[in-house]
Amino acid sequence: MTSAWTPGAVAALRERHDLPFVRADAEGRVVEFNPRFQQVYGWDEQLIGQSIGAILPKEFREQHHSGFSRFKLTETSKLVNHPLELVTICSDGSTVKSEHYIVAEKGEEENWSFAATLRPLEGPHAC
Amino acid sequence: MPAERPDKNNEGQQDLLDQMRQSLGLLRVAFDSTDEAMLIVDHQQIIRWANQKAADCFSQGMTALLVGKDLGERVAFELPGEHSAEKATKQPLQRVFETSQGERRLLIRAATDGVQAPQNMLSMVIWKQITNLNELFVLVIIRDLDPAERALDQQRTFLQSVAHELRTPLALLSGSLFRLRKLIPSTASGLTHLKTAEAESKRIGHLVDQLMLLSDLDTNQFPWKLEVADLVALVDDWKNQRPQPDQQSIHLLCGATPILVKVDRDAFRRVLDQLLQNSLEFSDGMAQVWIEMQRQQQEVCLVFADSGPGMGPEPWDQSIDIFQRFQRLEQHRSAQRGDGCGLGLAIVRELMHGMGGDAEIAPATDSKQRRGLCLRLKLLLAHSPQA
Repeated sequence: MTSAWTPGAVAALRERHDLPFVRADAEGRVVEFNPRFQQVYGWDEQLIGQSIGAILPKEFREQHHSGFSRFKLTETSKLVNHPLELVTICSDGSTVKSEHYIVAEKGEEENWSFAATLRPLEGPHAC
Repeated sequence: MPAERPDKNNEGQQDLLDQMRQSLGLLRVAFDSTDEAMLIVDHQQIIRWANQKAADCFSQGMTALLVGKDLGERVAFELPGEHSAEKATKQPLQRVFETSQGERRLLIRAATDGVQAPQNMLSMVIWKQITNLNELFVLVIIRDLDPAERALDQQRTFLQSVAHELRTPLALLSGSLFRLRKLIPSTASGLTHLKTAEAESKRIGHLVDQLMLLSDLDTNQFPWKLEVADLVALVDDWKNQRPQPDQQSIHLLCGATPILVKVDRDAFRRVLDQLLQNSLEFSDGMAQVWIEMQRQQQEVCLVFADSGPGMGPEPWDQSIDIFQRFQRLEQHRSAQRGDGCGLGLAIVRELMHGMGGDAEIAPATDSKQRRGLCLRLKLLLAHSPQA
């Protein structure tokens, strides 16, 4: 099982201004995203506080919730630190195939933080 | 204090959420620890959930790469013995979604290239529809064969080879005997021996066919086609398709009201053919047969009774199971009619089990005519929860 967390990984992703970036807290709620994320996927401040599952297609949510719950217990996951081709839901309900790169990091108060860069692979922002 | 109530409510909800999340996480850990690949697909065959073993086999260890994909796109199902991958990927999958539950030996492989999964692994595929949620799901479990299943599979392969080796010489033998009979005058003294040889050669051929059928049933290789059908019409059609002399021996007491059951038409015709053949064989072709239907709450009982010798005088020897393979009753042995294979009723029971039903011996009726063998064939009604 891949080691789940890398010190400084979230900050390193946040520096990638050219790519959409989103971060969730230990409960899986969105706590921040960058302007590029808003530009590509259309989400605004209303996404803050919602489950990160909101940007995943409906058919992914069961797997997401069970995988997230497992991570809370085991603190390991095969999904982190790998580029993953997934579908991302935009604020208008449309979908964009994107390459997700997810990292996890434990903060000073032992709280987990999850962040991802999302590289759009189709549509006007494809890169 | 009233002001504290919302906070307490929030705390309570958070506690509940944490507990549920922990339970979900524990379940996930348990499912990820099994050696069985587990997948849940929706009614469009889209994978909605997969455990770690499924991901290891079919998507480079990452469940996220399985979810949202079409099952057939990720997992190739192939019937053992079939070599056309194109044909094979569809048929077994259709079976999964046509029947509410079942299990089958299938060759499995990852449908994508570059995946470190065992190629064409003979596996047991078990499926079950999950119907009590807001949408239909199917749980698919794929596991390695256990030692007993592997042994049965090896036995089937062996039987197939033996059957193949026997059929060719048997066909040559039958052809030669047929030609020989044409050359011998009908009054020749050797004709009786020739007829015996022909009958024995036919019997061996029949035995080979029955052994192969039983082997297919034992190893879940029988090509079941279960569907909802009217049993009354099915039995009526079966009678009408029999040769004229047989039709005169068959008496249907089924009424005209349709009775919908879950059944494989061909398998059920085989069952009736086998029972009629037994009745005719053990009465030297003189038997009369009565078929009656008794509808019950969840199932229908088809009572098959004949005028043949039956099980002999009561009380019967309780240790004798007439459905056991190679079981032949001593009182039925006769030099004139030859010896049956003793597999007919075993096949009847296995076919009935395969359709979710059963076959059992029933006490002979009080009727003077129907004093012979009496069997009850049970099938689930189509509306039954188990069907």
